[in-house]
Amino acid sequence: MITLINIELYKIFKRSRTYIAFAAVFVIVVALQIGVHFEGQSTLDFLFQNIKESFMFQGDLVNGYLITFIILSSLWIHIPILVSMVTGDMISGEANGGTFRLLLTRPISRTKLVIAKFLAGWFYSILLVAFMALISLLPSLLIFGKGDLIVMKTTINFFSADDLLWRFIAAFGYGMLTMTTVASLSFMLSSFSDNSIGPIIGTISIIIAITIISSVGESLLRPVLPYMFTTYLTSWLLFFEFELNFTKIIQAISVELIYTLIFLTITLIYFRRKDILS
Amino acid sequence: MTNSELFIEIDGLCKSYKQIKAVDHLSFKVFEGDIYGFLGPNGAGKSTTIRMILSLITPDEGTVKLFGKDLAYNRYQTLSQIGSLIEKPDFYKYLSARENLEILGKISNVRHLKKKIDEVLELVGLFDRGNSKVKTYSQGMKQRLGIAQSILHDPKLIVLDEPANGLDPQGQKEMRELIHAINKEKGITILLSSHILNEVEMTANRMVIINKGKNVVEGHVQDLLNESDMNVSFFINDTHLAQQKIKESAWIDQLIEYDEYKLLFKLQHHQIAELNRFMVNSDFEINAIKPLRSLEDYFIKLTGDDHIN
Repeated sequence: MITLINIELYKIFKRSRTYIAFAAVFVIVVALQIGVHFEGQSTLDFLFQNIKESFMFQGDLVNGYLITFIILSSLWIHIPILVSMVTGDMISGEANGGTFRLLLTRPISRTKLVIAKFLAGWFYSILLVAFMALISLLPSLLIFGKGDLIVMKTTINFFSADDLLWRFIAAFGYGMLTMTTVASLSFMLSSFSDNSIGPIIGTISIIIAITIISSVGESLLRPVLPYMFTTYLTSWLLFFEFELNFTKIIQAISVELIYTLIFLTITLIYFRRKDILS
Repeated sequence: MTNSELFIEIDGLCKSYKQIKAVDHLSFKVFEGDIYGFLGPNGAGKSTTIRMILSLITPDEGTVKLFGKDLAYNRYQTLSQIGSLIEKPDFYKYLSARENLEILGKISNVRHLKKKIDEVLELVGLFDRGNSKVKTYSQGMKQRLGIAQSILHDPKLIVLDEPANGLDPQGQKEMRELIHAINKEKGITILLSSHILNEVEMTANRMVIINKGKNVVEGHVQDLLNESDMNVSFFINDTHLAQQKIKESAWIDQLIEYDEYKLLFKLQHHQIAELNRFMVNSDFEINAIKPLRSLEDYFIKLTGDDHIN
């Protein structure tokens, strides 16, 4: 099993496509950092124009934490695309390239191969989020320094600088979990397909479609929304509530984990029986 | 042949795709040491059968026994002794030949892998290009790399599906020589699938012809080719007069048909010279004699002319 995982990781990191995702994250993050550096203060003035009459602000609100928070908010749709670019290709890419004929005529179990591929894809996904966390937090804090953060949700939350690092670590950790779910969805679609574009587009389409339908038909779908994995894609925001709602956090984590297991189980059942015609 | 020498035993194999029966109660046997030709026109069910032998496709009915063991219950054990090259040789194009072989060797638990890779690359004539990315390879080089990966783990049996596909005549000749070398020098039994009779004739010792998923004829290649009657065309200057002469002789029983250019006879091998003598003695000018063995004839009817040469 270890050999298979190593082989899958070797294949992932030998492809230039893999590094496109890291390059894309790097470019987007740097662009956001530059943008916030020049436009951050005026944006904040605009956003807080109403509450400035009620609160007194001291210090620099345009700081490393604010920039990281904006990056996190901005990238929740980009990262799933970048994750599915690799995980959506992991099974269908072998079918499309004809290399399943090489692999599956060897004495290996299909179950082990699927699990090895999934674990390699999962490793790539969390590495991508970790990379994003690293290049968001570290340079932002080094260049723009620490500072307090104001998060406006249904309530206005003020966080002091020394109460923020663990929240960001938790938020990125949660992001890794949601990207695992996204990876397992695109991985499942990849097992159904013999080309790589379908699973990548399919994953993003499913996420966007469910998100839009959930927003538009919220009153109608309210009973099922707590059970949809897309509902919790942005639940990293739960770590930016002054008092953590553990019930909601556990619910979000559970739903994401259950969907990951469901997608992986479907992949295993389907792929074990699949005729390799490519 | 004893039972222990039976390497492949296909019995009543069936596979359908929706309404289309790709393989229909197919049975044949391959023995140790054989180069076994698996011949049939395109769409006859060869690739589907081979994929079932290699457990890529699950049969609807029938059994595949490899080395005397049912594949369905002994997949790992049997596949570890089989190498294969199915249709076009596809590899990870972004990796070198060596890197591809390393991956496949690790999956097959090949010992002394680097040494083994050198050995197979040398055998197929790719040693100097081993570090080049596969995307830079020609079709012929990919085919040879396909053979290299199929023997990397020292299998007892290799299954080659149309290994000469896409190769020029020189490449086809080299491929035949390679197959012979693997069979003779390494003692590897080979199941060779092809839609080209000549390729099978020049390479295999035993063969089966299938069509529409069914076994049509099976046996030793030379027996099938030599023992059968031949359809022989005599191209002569005056077929009308010749026809009259033939009618007056015993050769009329062998005459199948004629036109303005040729007379077509069904003959035993030794009768060709006798009929030739008869024609010469009757003062006919023979332009050409074209033998067409009935197996070829039969195969042409199945497949069309383009599959003979």
